[in-house]
This record gives sequence, C-alpha cells and structure tokens, in this order.
Amino acid sequence: MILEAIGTILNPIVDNYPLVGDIEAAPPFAVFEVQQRPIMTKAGINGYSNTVFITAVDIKIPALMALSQSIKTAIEAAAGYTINGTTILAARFREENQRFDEQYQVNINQLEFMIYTNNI
Amino acid sequence: MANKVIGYNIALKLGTKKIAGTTADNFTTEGRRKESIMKSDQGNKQYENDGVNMTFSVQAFLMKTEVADTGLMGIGDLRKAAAENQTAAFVYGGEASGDDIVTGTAMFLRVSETSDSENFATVTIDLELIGDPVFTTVAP
Repeated sequence: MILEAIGTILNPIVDNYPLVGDIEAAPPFAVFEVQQRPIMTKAGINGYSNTVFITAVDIKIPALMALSQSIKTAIEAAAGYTINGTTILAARFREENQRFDEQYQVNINQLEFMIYTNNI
Repeated sequence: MANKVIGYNIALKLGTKKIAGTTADNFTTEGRRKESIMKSDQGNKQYENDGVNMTFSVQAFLMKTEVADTGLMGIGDLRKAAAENQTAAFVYGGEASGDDIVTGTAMFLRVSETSDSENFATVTIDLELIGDPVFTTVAP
C-alpha cells in the first residue's frame, strides 16, 4: 500500500507517522497522508494518482529545510521502484508551505507530491 | 422498464480491436437533410432526409502496446491509421446480448495528442462514418 511505501521511504530520514489521529512525537518528525484516486479507463482501473502531503516538523528553520530537501530527494528517487508491493511510476514534488506553530514552538513545512502508482 | 446505461458498458470496436486506454467515447448521429422550396410550397421550406452523418471522438490515455496486446490499438497504430485515413468495420454500443449497437465502416480522420510536464499523456481520436450504418442488437 502507498502509505506503507511512504513510511518506508521516510524511515531512513526521519521519524514518521501516518496521519490517523493525535500524535505525540518529539521534533524532528514527519506526518503524512495520501489522497488516492483511481485512474479509470473503460477497461477498468489503470493505476492510481496519489496526492501525498508530508508535513515536516522541526524546531529550527535551517534544520527543517534540510529535512524537507532530504524528503523531496527521497520521494522523487522512488520513481521506478516497487516498495512494499506498491510500484511507483512517477513521483513529482509540487509545492511546499511553511508556518510557525506558536503553541508548540516548532516550524512546520507541508510538502505536496503527486505520485502515480500501478497499484494501491 | 427502460434502464440507464453505465458509460463503461458502451464500447467502440474497430475491426477486431479497441483503442487502448479509452476513457470516453463521443458518438454523434445527425440526420442529413435536404432543403427545398417550390412555388407550390407557398413559402414553406420542405425537408427530406438524405442519409446520416456519424462521427466518433474517442478520448484515451496515450498507450504503448506490446505484441501480446493483439486486441488493442496503441499510439503507434493510431498515428498510422490517421496518417493513412485507414478504414475499419466498427461496432459501437453495448456488448451484452440484446444491447443496441450500430455497425458500419469508419474512417480515421485525426489523432490529437496532449502531453504536459506532469500528467499522463492523452490522445483524442476522431473518426467518421463511411457509407451507411446498420442499427441492430447484439446477438444472443
């Protein structure tokens, strides 16, 4: 599944969690979620387009941006590989947005990727 | 009771092949009219049917086919078919027993491709009827 594949890609880089509820984690860490849409043809499903949001969290901006760059490189390098049974056809970084969370005193960078896969 | 038809149950077959990666078929049937007016019509135009025009416009992903894909037309086949204005016997409609279908001969007019920097490339294939159509149903 794409969620497992994203986790596997991020594991060597940073602690990471699928966004499924409250998370208690110490920075740096990343949280990810996937919006998956089947690519329909009249003959049936011909792959999936996945909009992947990875939220990187760290205390200092320079460290956060370095972490973000590592995530971008790793995600885009996954194209052409099968990870946890998910074959990744193409992976593209789309955009990122930074903000500062006053309550937790952390910097946050949300990265958006488009990932095309052969299967879920 | 009349029933709605789900889009993917409508197919276009050209010869023995379908167009690979088809996402939508547009099929237009338009009666051809001949207009006339004589003095005896007292100013009212007269219309007479003079055959039918049928056009197809198929949207598909741009697909590469392999030797094993014998029942599919890939981008190579489509480009060649349009360049040579090839014709093919077509069957358009449902595929279940009793479904309404139209058969005849279609000519490839053009293949238009779209490829951007992020999405899968797509192709639009335009065809038109040559000769007369046959309106029938899928044999049981």
